[in-house]
Amino acid sequence: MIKKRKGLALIAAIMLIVFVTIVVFSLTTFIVQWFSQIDADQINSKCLYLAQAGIQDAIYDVRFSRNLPSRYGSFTLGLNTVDVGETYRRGGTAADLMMVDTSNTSQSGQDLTGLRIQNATSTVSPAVAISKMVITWVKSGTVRTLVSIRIGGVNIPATISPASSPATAVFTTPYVLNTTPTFIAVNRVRFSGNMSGLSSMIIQFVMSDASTKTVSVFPASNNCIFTIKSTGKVSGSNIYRTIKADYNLMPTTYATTSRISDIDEINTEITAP
Amino acid sequence: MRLILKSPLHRSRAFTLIELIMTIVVVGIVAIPISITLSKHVQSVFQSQDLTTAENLARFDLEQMNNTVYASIVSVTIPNYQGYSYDLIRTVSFVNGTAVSAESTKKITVQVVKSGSAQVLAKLVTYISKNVRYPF
Repeated sequence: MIKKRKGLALIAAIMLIVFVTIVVFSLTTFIVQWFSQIDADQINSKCLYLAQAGIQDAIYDVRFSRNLPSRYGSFTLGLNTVDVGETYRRGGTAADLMMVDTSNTSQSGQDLTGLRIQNATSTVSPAVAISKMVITWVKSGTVRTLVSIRIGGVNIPATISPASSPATAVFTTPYVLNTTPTFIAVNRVRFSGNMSGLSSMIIQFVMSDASTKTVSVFPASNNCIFTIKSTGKVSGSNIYRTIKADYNLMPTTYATTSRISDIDEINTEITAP
Repeated sequence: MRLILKSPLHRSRAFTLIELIMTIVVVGIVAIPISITLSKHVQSVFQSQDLTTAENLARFDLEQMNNTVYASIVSVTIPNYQGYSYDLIRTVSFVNGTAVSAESTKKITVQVVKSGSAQVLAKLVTYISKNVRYPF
């Protein structure tokens, strides 16, 4: 009996050591993961507030650089540093960056007039260029068709097909909004006859990067909405948070009523410009 | 006969004693780093609790700033913030414009430290601009 128990203490001790080592190793792994999670949470929060900084700074830029009635103001895109290693980058599609002021539109004879557009950014890339307009309207009485579109005092060469609602005008050359932003008048959207009886009109702008912006242009409304997208990042980490904010300049009551009309977080990193 | 019976018993006792000594030595050698590791783990638990609490307090303050009148967003140090043993240090500076400008932007840096310590446990930074209104 005594012979059989020989070496038991050592074996038991080794087993205990192995067991304790496994427990300690597991605990270490768990704690390392735990700290890694806490670290990720901290970076996540930092990124969100950095993205917010990008939105707030853009709104300041727009409001500060406005010079009514010639321009609404603009902001720049790209990378900005808030603190050492803490940055935001603003960007967006061409449609995001196009302002469409619908506060002054009216129907006059065979035209829709008073629509104004502007580039919201002074940054060259991405180019804010319109390649197509899809116009949908509701009108009582005689059926009319789309004839031409005049922007910035120039009739835009375009292929119009179909001409009846919803009409599509494909521009021969995309119309580029300049990067020293000022209002550009869409002087007129002309139809085949008098448009009296027009009750509503919606224009979808299709940009050269295939992004789209759909705006209700008639009846007139106190709206001029553009979109700011900002990604917050901390150097040394691949975690990011992006905020997308629609800002409505509300042109007829600019100073007092302009506001963020919608704000969301999106799961897309802004990587350019 | 007596010798035959006695001898194996004596050998067995001697082995057990040597084993016991060896076991104590081995366990002792292994126990030192393990106890150090475990002690660090206990410290880590407290440290992670500090980091999490500090992070939440910093976020709480920035959310408050997002819902505060612009003029009231100012630099301040608040000891024992919200009744916790942490101090909050809020630093506000202008990145655009000044206090009297029609339009301006403030940079808000919120740092949280354990009361009586200088080590920053959480730090968040953002901008808030004047006249930015939300739909809600």
